[in-house]
Amino acid sequence: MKKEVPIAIGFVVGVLILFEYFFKAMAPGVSDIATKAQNWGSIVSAFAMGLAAANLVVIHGRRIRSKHPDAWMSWILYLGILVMVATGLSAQESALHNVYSFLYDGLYLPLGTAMFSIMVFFIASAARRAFRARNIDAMFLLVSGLLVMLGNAPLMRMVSPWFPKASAWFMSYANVAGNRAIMIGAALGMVLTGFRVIVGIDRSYFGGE
Amino acid sequence: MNVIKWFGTLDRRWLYALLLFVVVTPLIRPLGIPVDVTESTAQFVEAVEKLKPGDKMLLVFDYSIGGGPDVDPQAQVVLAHALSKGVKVVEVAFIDTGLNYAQKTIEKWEKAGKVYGEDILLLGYAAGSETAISAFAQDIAQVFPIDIRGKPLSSYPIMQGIQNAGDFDFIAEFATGIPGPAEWIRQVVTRYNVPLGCGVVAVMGPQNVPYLQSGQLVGLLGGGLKSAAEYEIAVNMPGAATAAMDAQSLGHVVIVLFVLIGNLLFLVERTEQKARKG
Repeated sequence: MKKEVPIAIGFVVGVLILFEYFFKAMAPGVSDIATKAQNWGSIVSAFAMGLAAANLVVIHGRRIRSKHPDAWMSWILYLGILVMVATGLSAQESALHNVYSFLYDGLYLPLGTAMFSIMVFFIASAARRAFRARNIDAMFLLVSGLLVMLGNAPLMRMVSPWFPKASAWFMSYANVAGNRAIMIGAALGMVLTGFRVIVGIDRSYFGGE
Repeated sequence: MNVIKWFGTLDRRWLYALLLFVVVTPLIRPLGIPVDVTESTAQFVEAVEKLKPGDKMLLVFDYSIGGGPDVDPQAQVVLAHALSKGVKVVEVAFIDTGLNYAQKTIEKWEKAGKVYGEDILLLGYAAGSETAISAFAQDIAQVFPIDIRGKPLSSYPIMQGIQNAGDFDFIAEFATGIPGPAEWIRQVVTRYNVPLGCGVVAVMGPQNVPYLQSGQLVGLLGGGLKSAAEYEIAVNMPGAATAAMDAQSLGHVVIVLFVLIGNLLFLVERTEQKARKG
């Protein structure tokens, strides 16, 4: 029963959603049921977020109890969760709580964007050591990548109008041809995977198999 | 030859310092490098331009903090453009961090005199990615019975006549991952035939160009911050993106120089290796 029930639920919901997507006009009443099923999906996703937060609290509680050398970080995490949840919930109707805004805009936002921005230095370092035309394939990749990059730099248009034109050509033709092939292949794969999940052949959502 | 070899042995922290200098200097002293508007951006601008006062636009904040600096200026300028034309804008997020960006726009435009519930509205955030988008598209009130301020959607004038995604005149989605343009095309464009324009981080641009060529997207801001700058210039609303273009432009050129010199170094090393063996 542990396996049969989830497979049966997956089958019924999968067929329902597919039917509603393609044959909505034939059975208008199905739309309401499909929308409800999708709403349940949203609710389950929201619970998954809550579960993840609870899991985080449990894991860090374990670290604190075991007197891990980095337990102080777990305390900071607890403090962060507590303050953000409390101030987030006490937001005014038309504005966020001042403390929440201050912490979000002054701490979380700059830290998040800084993590992303740091990548530019890794790219600079990799540009010298890794992006090398070791063979003909790598050379094509390198040349097209450099042309697109230069074409996207407004400065290079002042050097020659040929740069943005070359970049546009690569994006509109070479890129689209390659991407379409990948997209069509992936779409066929999705159809097959969807079918395998609906009929219960693919049971990876049980966690393995 | 010696200069190239010296470059190969140079401590990488000097490269970091050079890059930092090149990026920061134009932010302090702008160079005013002209920015051209590409075709995909022009198409997006045209799609918003076509909207009439009173038309309704759905603005979707599906972006994370990491990609925010690339995509947020796009959303800001599209919102400013739409509101300046008298278009009414309903905002929503299907990524949790997107909600904060949306809330800030509400605060900003309320201060600027726009009326919440009449000119602009924020529904909130719904978990569930593509599933939530599909449910939302079919029946908005089922996913968001109330808005972010806890009032029923039916109590707002802006929501009159809006029941599903097909009732919007235009949808602008800004994304840094999943959900992104593909999910919106699958669940909304193909079923409700609503014009969709998307803004994405620069790395996602190339993979979404086929949707633009097929007509499933009516506009694509696929170059990240550069597309935002192009849009700002096209609608004559210069802002944060335009100001950052000099820095990004010079940063690109420096990285390309690093790649070229690195390849010269590689050629020199390989020639020397062959000479030693031969």
